[in-house]
Formats: sequence, structure tokens, C-alpha cells
Amino acid sequence: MEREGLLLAEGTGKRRRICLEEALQAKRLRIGILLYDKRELAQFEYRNIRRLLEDAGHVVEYGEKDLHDLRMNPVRVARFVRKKPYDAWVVNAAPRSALEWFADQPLPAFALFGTRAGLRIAGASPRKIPALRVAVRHLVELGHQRIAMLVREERRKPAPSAFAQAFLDELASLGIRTGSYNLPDWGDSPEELHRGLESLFQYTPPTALIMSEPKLFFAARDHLAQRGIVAPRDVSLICDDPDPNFTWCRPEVAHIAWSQDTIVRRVLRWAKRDGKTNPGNFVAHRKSMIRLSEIIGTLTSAYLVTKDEKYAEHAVRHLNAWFVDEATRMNPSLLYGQAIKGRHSGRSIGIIDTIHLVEVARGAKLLGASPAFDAQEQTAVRARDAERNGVYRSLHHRQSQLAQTTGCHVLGGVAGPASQPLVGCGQV
Amino acid sequence: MYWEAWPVRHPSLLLAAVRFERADYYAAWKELEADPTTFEVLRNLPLRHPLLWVDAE
Repeated sequence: MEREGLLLAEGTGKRRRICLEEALQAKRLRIGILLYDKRELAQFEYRNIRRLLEDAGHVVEYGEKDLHDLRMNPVRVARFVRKKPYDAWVVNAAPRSALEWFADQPLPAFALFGTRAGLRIAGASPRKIPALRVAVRHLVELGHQRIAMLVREERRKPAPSAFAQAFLDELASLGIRTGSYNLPDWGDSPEELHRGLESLFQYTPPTALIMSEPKLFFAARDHLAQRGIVAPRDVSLICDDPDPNFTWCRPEVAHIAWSQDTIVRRVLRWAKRDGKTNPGNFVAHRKSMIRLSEIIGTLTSAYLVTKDEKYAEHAVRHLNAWFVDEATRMNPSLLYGQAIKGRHSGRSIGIIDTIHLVEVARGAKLLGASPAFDAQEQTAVRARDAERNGVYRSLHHRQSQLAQTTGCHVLGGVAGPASQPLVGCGQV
Repeated sequence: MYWEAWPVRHPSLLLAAVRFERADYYAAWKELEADPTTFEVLRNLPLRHPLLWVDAE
């Protein structure tokens, strides 16, 4: 550890100091955030995301240009991104063409909102379409026939975004003929928004408006109120996002609610590379365990299908080697599960490291009926398993614990959810 | 990462097919890869032997 710089000598007779800096340095990423609109910095939790990423040890900067400066143009985005020294990018509400470019790069990128369906890119966005469909149906049931949605330009051109298209599809499915009236082109600046609203309300005004993003919602509500059109008395207004400013509005603002926290957490997990195994890890034992699960799973399946004792006999040889024979058996210790150099010598979530014993335990239970598996050996395997359960109970990773003890409780004869047949197989 | 290697025969599809009597889930499960060889996929697929989990009757 001293050689690796994790422990620093502080002079003779003094305790050595643990140094985490070096270990952390290696994992530190320089992350660039490419914003949709710099003026919106205060709106979503961008500052919060930056702070949390920095707390996690990364260096985070906003690009000095936003997607509007780059005119939503993938060629300009590419040129801008290539000039920057960042290891990874968080890209905010980018048009599909730009996300397509990012998806083709080896450079890791996270699509924070934006249309990314089918693209090889990490990302997160709220699933608003089901709520939108319910809202549209509700409006039509209330008698609305003239319903329009106002969205920013890149969600209309070159083709409607999935959200805008779902709106048009839902109207059509309710028997309403759709066209540019429902998804009007109004430009993309504040002046153009107000001119667009002016012309929209001139002759056959909509009775319901769905506004994309709170800022457009407030602008439209204000615009209409100036002209004596009051929501919800004269027109129904729906916003497709939540906004803290809605809290004080009465009557309450109809809007699609979703949680920013979930999205923020996804960004952090991506930066942490949660779930990715360190390629330099020692995995020989994991591989042996997977090999055992493959052997027991296959032999047990063969035994169940053929009732031929030779499969059970062979499986029992492996169980004995792993759990019974004093000379070869493994000890169930998870003390160092999911250790991270310089951080933890072992973590409670390291319980997941033995998840591959779940089919071994299940297999042993199913082999219990075989004469090849003698009672003494069964008792020994159970004892190993109980030890392992003891280890689990002192840990807390519930999900895999549940999965593993589901298998194990069957084995130990302890009442558990799997002591009854798990599922029947009638229909399939 | 491992974009091409997924999806595989996820046990959730099979168990949900049985529990909710959804033939379409079963059909989807059956179409998928039964014996993935990519280590990363194996590592994330601890339940690979359906007969151990589904009552044959």
C-alpha cells in the first residue's frame, strides 16, 4: 500500500497516514455540460448536478456555448466538443441529430432529456407520454375540440418529437382531424411566441392549450390575460412540466408532474459507472462460482427431465467439493465483498458477489430427493448454507439477499417464500 | 456497453408469463438468447436454468 501511495510514512515512530487522493485521482473525470439554453441555468437542477458531481470527485464545467449558440447543428456541436478536453459530456435536451453524433463517438455522453430512443447513449428523461394521453382524452371528454400544443422549434422540425407526435396521434384516435393548427409553427423567440399566440387566437381560438415548459406556459398565460382571456375560465391551459412557482397558484395549474431527483440520481450513477466492473479486478473466484452454478443448474435440470441418477450423482460430487470436503471446501465470508481500493475494504452491497450461488442452493434442494445425495452430505451442505445466511443477515443489500435466501431457505428447510412451488406452469 | 449482447432470456419474462398467463411474454422470452457467452452478461444473469424455478406441472 505504501508503494502504491495509499499509505504515507510520517517519520519513524509515527503512524502512517492513509492517503486517498492518489486513488481518487485515477477515477476523476473532467465532465462538460452542454446546455440547451444558458439562460435556463437556474431552472432545472443543473447547479445541483454540478455540485453533486464535484462532490463525487469530478471536475465539471459548462461549455461556454449552448445548443442555441451552436444552432442545434450536429456539425457545429461536433466541432465544439472536439476542441474541449473533457472525458465525458452531459448533453441537455439536444436534438436527435446531435445525440446521433454523440452516440457514434467513443466519448461517453449522457443525454439529459432529448429524443434518444434507439440510440446507443446513456440518458434520462421523464416518461410524460402516458400522462399526456390521459390529459388529451380528458380534454376531449370535457367537450374540447380545438386543442393546440406549443413546443420549441426542434420538437416540431424536421419532424414532431415523440411527445408532439403522441399528442397528434391521441387527438386522431379520438376522431379529431389534426394538422398544423394543433402543432403550430411559431418560430422560436419570445416575440415570435407572442405573435404566434396572437394569430392563433384571432379567428378560431383554441379552447385548450398545452404548453411545453413552464416559461412558455407563463408567457402564454400572461399574454392571454392581457387580452381578457382568463384561464381556466375562457381557455384550459396545461403545462407539460412541474414548476415550483405553480405551488402558489389558485386555481391550481394543470401540469404533468415528474421528479427531478430521479433524473439527477441517474446522472450521478452514470458518472460513478455504477454496475461496471473494474476490468483489472481479480475475478477467478467469480468465474469458478459461475462455473459451479452452470454445472449444478445443468445437471439438476437434466436430472429433473430424465430422472437418471447419474446426473444427481455427478452434481453431488461438485457440492461435496465446494461445501462438504474439509480439504477443498470454500468458506462463506463476504468480509471483502465489493472492496474499492482506497475507499472501502468491503461493503454491505458486496453481498451481491455470491448471487451466483442462488441456483446452486436451489439445485441442491431439488437434488435432495435423490438417493445419490446422502443425508449426512445434505446436512453438511445445509450447515454451509446456514453460515452463509448468517453472513447475509449481517449485511443489507436487500435485493440480492432476497434472491439468494429465496433459494437458500428452500435448501435449509426454513419457511420461506420458495418453500412452496414458486410458480405453476399451466399455460406455457 | 454490451449493447449487442442484450437482451437475453430474462427470468422476469418467464416468471411474469407464468404468473400472469401472458403467452406474448413467453414468446418474447423464447425468442431471446438462452446461453449467452459474454462474461458481463453471465455475471448479470444469475438465473439461467428455468426448470429450477418453474414447477414442471
